[in-house]
Amino acid sequence: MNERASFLCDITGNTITVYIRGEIDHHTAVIVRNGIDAVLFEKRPTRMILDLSAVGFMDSSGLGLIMGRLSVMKSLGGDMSVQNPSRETESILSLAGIERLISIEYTNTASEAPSSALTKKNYVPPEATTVSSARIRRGSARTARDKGEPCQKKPAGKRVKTPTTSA
Amino acid sequence: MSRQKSRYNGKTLNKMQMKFPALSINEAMARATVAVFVSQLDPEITALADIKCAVSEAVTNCIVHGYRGSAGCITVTVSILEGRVVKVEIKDKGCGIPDIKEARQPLFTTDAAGERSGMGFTVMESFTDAMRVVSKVGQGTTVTLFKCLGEPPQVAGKGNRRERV
Repeated sequence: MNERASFLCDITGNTITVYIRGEIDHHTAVIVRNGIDAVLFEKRPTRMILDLSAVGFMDSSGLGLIMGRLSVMKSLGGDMSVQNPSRETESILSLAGIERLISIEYTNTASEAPSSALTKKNYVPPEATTVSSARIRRGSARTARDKGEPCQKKPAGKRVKTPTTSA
Repeated sequence: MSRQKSRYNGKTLNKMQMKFPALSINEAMARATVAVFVSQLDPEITALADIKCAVSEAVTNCIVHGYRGSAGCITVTVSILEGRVVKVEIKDKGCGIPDIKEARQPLFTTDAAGERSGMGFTVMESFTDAMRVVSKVGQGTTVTLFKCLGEPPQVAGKGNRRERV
């Protein structure tokens, strides 16, 4: 797997949760897509959850990846949702209005993700809003989650954004 | 409008240019290099992320649509203008765009089989303050992006204390 992007699959019954980590651009999207499709066509789940909590960068290639996986799941008679979009992915997901087509869910990430998918290096102390202040606080950490907001545990239970049906 | 035009035509304070092959593996390098160069202005994290995303989109367009997988060279020029304005020019000598207006429409793509979302230009326009596209069929395309960074961060120091005395 490309060192700039990787994914882990957690299979529970007929649901596959895919934890993507790293950067999703045109180059890595192809690699990730082929890997996920191989798993989907082998396991044929009825539901796929795409966890984006550890994605440090995503451009429109990531949107294509998500929409392509939705097409694959539909062809398999299943459905998919997106889980825990990172700060770096929220802007582009919002711009594309992806929530109109795919459910976006927020869960307690720390307790549900495989330990190897997320690390504590993702934590950034507050008040780091510029490059220099983030660098001072983080030292040599090379995570992209440098928005300067504390890692807050979400309350138990899921907050689900369901897609609205068009008129 | 004239005030905005003068903002984007300000004096160039610093500049960097790089040329690299139109290979997808270079997309990350391109956006990271632009980000490193812009970081001298100590920008907001969100502004830097927007610039990285826009540059990534433009470079991808060169590779996927400009050169369509064939060999080529991409030139990225980053300029820092007066007033904390960042100007990024991404140039290719690919096939060019026959209809720029059509290409800039959301969801339009010439590579549907490659799972392209057709949102490249939309992302570039949304994440920057201004975008200019110049293209000629058979000669190539130049995309110029402008991003105005906010005021530099205020740092408390001896200078401030002296002013209050």
